[in-house]
Order: sequence, then structure tokens, then C-alpha cells
Amino acid sequence: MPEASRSTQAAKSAAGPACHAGPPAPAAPAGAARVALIGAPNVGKSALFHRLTGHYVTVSNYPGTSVEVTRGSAWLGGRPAEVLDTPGLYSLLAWTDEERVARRIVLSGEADVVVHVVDAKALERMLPLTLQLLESGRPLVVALNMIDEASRLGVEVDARRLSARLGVAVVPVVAVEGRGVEELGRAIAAALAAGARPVRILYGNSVGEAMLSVRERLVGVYPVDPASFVALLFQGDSEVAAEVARREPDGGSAARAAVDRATTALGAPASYRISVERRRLSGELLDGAIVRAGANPPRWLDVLGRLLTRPATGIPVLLIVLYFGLYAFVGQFGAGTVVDWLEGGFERYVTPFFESLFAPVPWAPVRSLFVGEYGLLTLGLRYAVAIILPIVGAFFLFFSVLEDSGYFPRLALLVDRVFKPLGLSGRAVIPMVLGFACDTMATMVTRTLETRRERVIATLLLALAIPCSAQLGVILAILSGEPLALAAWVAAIAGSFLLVGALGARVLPGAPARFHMELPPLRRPRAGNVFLKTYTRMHWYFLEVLPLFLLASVLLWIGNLTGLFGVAVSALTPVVGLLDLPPETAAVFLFGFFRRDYGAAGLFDLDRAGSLDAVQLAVAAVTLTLFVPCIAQFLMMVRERGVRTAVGMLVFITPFAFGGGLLVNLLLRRLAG
Amino acid sequence: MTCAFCGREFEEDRGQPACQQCPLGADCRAVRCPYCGYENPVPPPWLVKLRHWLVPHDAH
Ligand SMILES: Nc1nc2c(ncn2[C@@H]2O[C@H](COP(=O)(O)OP(=O)(O)OP(=O)(O)O)[C@@H](O)[C@H]2O)c(=O)[nH]1
Ligand SMILES: [Mg+2]
Ligand SMILES: [Zn+2]
Repeated sequence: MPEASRSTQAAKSAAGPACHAGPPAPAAPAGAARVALIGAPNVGKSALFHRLTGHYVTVSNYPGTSVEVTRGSAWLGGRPAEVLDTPGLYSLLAWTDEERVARRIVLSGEADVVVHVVDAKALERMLPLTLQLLESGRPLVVALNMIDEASRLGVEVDARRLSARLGVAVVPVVAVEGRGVEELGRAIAAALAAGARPVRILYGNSVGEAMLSVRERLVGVYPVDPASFVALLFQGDSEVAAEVARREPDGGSAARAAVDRATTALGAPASYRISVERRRLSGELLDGAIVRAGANPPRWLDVLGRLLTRPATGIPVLLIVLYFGLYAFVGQFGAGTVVDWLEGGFERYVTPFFESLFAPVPWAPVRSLFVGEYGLLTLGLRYAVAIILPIVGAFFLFFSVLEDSGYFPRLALLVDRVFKPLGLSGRAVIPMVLGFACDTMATMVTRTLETRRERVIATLLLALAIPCSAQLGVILAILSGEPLALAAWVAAIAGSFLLVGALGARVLPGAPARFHMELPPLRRPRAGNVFLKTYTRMHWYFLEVLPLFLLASVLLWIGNLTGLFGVAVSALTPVVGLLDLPPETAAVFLFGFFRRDYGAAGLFDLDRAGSLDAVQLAVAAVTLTLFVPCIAQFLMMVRERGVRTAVGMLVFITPFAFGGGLLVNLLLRRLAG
Repeated sequence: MTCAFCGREFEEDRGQPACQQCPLGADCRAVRCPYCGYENPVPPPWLVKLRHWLVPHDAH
């Protein structure tokens, strides 16, 4: 028993009124069987716990952790038992401290019976964990909870058929009402009496063979069947690898070699093959055991989901998605058609209206603050409303459709291989994808990456080669009529991403980060969800952008009055001249350092004015994209990676961006003859 | 809520609100998933209510 045991009023909200603080709970009688309730968050473990146990519960920290585990005593099938309520667990592959504790309760063999509590409404998502629990060989009972809600939703589960297929009892219950709880108690007692089960590995598609080949190498003494360690070894779980090393007479080297061999045989990455196989097998086990009124999740989505993660099919699909989503929808429609329309409105009605409003104001400087070249209303407001808003709106709509469909985790799987030589894992897809929405936020998200090496490389690549949504939209729009310029821009940005990533991986020593995740199902995006997400993101973006754009107008106004702006522009003019760009672009670069999107809007304006030819557009687009992030992103880089690293990146990026522009200029001019 | 990236469920208050840590100080209404780190947008409550009112059975 844990030392830190204390009796408390059940701390968890779900505990309900049934438990009172009392005298220290009586310890479970000697010889009481231990029953652990395991399952995903929110499936009703605590509700079931309180149905199974009496009024006295103890809440204590799991030994060596700050994670609370609740215990209570019960009589199950005429036997005394101690029941453990555990934190939610999605898979034995644990990500959080809570999950690690729940997993340890399973793998340490401290439970005599494991009760897998599942949500009958979402069985497809729950069965992969059942399969993992089966591998432990411990007595197992499945509590099919929430059948009340399931039948309200038209989902009927054939518990008997499922039980026959799994080889363990499956008991329908409604934990909140206590329905089925007695039957569950009897099933637990029966499972206890039956004792350990022989482990069957049900996987097909050569995954089962691979797992068996490793299982055979595990000859040490384990508290549960080591079959349950095998998948975790494939998934590179360090805690489990250490335990295997401790328990194997040869320090686990035979098992490691077997994992490596089997990984090669499976064709990387093994951990995906395993989780995909688990999902397939879950579907097969449920086939005919679950009846859904109306929508059975369509089979073709499963097939499509698999195609998306294979390079041969996934990459073409990715290119098609990017072409239609980004180029056609965001670039041509959002940044082209819609912006044209709004800008027309501003030109014809809004700007003249404001100008006439301020015409009577006698002081020219005040007038110019509002309606001048860099006026609050004629520039700040116009940039935000007529240029940025439609572009980011189109982008967020596209983004939310992909997000809601479950495409992103598949993208992570797909690019895991491409990312490896860059020192990144598929996990880095999360900040990279978010970077297209906002690089500043994405820089903060890099802290969730596992190693410092990966964090530094991801931060650098975000600053260098991931344009934000507004920038991307504007660039696609202005380059859309110039295929050569567009190709040059794509090549320059993708090339920089790969080159700098590969260099970063060279310079920063370290093991390649491992990546593994269980895939959520692919689904048809829902209009309601997509709308909510798009609206939320646009709302946030606009609230953030508008004051900053207005502030920029004020700063420019002050800069103009004092002549400082002119000084800065003329300091940049020779640099811009080196790139064969007209002097006006210097101002755009200054805007760009203030905010990426502001610079993008400036570039858009320049293009409108017809001041740039195709080569100049490409050069300006490449330089602005590669060029340092805006101030906000830089501040975030300092905060997340420290001053030295952030300044180092700045020092690297600035000449790299201008060098990139120079190179594109030379190449394109030569090509153009 | 359900994370839009990894599909796991978590209590909204268990995810860290990203805005508090952001130097922009803007209220971006995003909550970071405790499992994978993805920033999930959280729609304003009135809009969620409106949706339930319009489409009562369309749970997310
Ligand atoms: N309709 C219905 N609701 C249930 C049932 N069982 C639990 N619930 C509800 O589901 C919610 C989650 O239940 P909990 O018992 O807290 O779930 P849990 O598995 O302990 O969750 P975590 O501790 O967060 O992992 C609560 O609101 C319960 O009232 C059931 O059989 N039917
Ligand atoms: Mg609970
Ligand atoms: Zn997540």
C-alpha cells in the first residue's frame, strides 16, 4: 500500500454524493482480490467505481508520483475485493503522467483482474486498447458502459458475439443507474476464478508475425505476459525498453535485434503498421457485432485513410489538396476575386467618403494621419479589411476543412520519413501546420517536441521557410499569373526548408526523434464544425491584426513627420537595389519586419500599382518569405529558445534571405535571357 | 472537448489556454491539447449555443 495514503472526501467531481469523509477506510481484507478499472477518459470508470464499492474510499498518490488513484472495497460474486479507479488511458502508449500510472497498474500485474471500461457509443476507438490488454494475459472483463446513450443514438452492440470473438466476458452496463453492475461483479469473480488466460495474438498482415518474433526473444520473468511489452518496444517507448533491459538475462539485446529485424521486414514505420493493424482488427471484430441505425462509418473512408499515409498515393493527394485548396481557393479566389471586389469597394466608396469627411480639417499632418498615404483609414483599415481578412478567411476555411476531416495526423505520418533527415519527426508537423496559421503561435508549440535538437530546428524552419496564411495568400495571388515566378518561389522556399533542415540536423548532434501516434478516424468534415472553427480563427486574427495595423499606420505617420521613416528606407534602398528591386520595395521590407502580413499587404499594393515585373515579384516574394519573422515571432523565439539562439538565428536568416533573393534574381534573369 | 489533431478527448480546463503565454496578448481562444500539443480553437459560447439551437442533434 502507498505510504502517502490519506482518506479524503472523494476529490473527483464524478464521485458524486455517495462518499463521505469518514474514519480511515478499512483496509481491504487480506486475500481480497484487486480489480483495476481501466479505460479512456470520460467513459464512466468513476461512476462504475462508486457503484461497485461502498461508501468508504481512499484517495492516495500512486507510489512515486503525484497522480491520484482511488481505492475502495467491494464484495464481488461473494468475494472481498479491492477496486482501483484509475486515470483515463487511451492506449498503453502513454503520453502523460496520468496515463503512465494507469499503464503501470496494468503492466505491473498488481491487478488480479482488469476491467476495461468502454463507451459503447465509440467502441471502434476503444477496442485497440482492449487488444493491448488482452496481450497482458491477465484476467480481463470488458464493461460495455453507456449502453443507454448508445441505444438512444441507435447503436446496438451484440455483447455475446463480441465476447465470443475476444474470448473474455463483455458485460453491458449503465454505470450511472447501476444497471448490469451485479452481472459485472459476477463476471469479475468468474474471471478471477479462471485465472490467467493464454495469450492469443490476433493480428494479421504480417504484424502478428513480427510481434511474435520479438515475443519469442523475451525470456525474462515478467509480472504480466511480455507480449504486452512488444508493441511498446516497436514504438520506441523508453520506459518499457529500460524495463526489458532490466528483466532480460542478456540486457534485452536479443529483443532489440529482433525488433530491428522485424522493423525492416515490416517496412517502416513499424509502430504505424501496428496501430493501423489494431484498428483494422477492431473493425473486423466489430463487424456484425455492432448495429448502427443510419450511418455506419463508410468503409471508403477507411480505405482513403490508408491511402493518405502511403507515400505513393499520399504525396499525389497532398499535391492535389495543395493545388485546389491553397492555389485555387486561397490564392485565386480569396486573394484574387474577393480582394478585388473589396478593394474596389474601398476605392470607390470608402476612401472617398473618409477623404471628404476629413477634407475640412485644416491641419495637413492631422489629415494625413487619417487619410494620407499611410493613413489609419486609407492604409491600416484598408489593409486589414480589404486585403488580409478575405485572404486569411479563405485560408482558415481550407484549414478547418482539413482539420475537421482528420487529415493532419495522416499528414504527420506521411511526412515522418521526409522529416527524418531534417532532424525532425512527424510530430513536428503540428507546429509546421500551425505555422501557416500563425508562426508566432507555432513557435510556442515547438516546446511540445521531445528533444532540444528538434525544437531548435523546428523554430529555425518556422522562422525561415513557413509563410503565414496572409503572406502565403498574397504571394500565391500575385504570382498566379506568372508560372515561372511561382515555380521559382516554390523551389526556393521548399529548397531552403530542406537544405537548412538537413544542415541543422548535421550541426546539431543527436538521435533522430521517434514519432508514433494512434490515428483518429478519418471522417467527412461537418459544415457546422468547419464554420465554428473558421469563425473562431478569423475573429481572433482580426482582433489581433486590426489594432496592430492601426498602430503601424501611426508609427509610419510619426516616422514620416520626423523623417525617420525616410532614413530607414534610404538605408535599405541600396540593399533592395542589389536585388534589382525598385526603391519602393524598401518600405515593404520595413513593413514586413513589423508584421509578416503587413509586409504582404504592402507587396500586394505594389503589385497593383504595376511597379514590379515577374522576376522582381519572385525575388521580392522569396526574400520576404525567407526574411525574418515579424517582431512578435522574434520575441517568441527569444522566449522559447533563449536570446543567444534567437539572435543566432536572426544573424543566419538575414543574409540567407537576401542571398536567396539574389540567387533567384540571377537565375531568373539568365533564364529570361 | 476532442482534440482536432490526435482525436483524444480532454477537459477544456485541462488543456492550457495558449493566450496567456503569448506575448501578443491577443485573445486567440485556443486551447492546447495535453496529449499532442495541438492548439485547438474554442468557439465563443454564444455561437456554440446558437448552433445547438439551430441543429439540436448535431453533436461534435
Ligand atoms: N448516460 C450515461 N452516462 C454515464 C454513464 N456512465 C458514466 N456516465 C457519465 O459520463 C461522465 C463521465 O463519467 P466518469 O465516471 O467521470 O468517467 P471516468 O471514466 O471516470 O472519467 P476520467 O476519470 O476523466 O477518466 C459523467 O458525466 C457520468 O455521469 C452511463 O452508463 N450512461
Ligand atoms: Mg474518473
Ligand atoms: Zn491532441
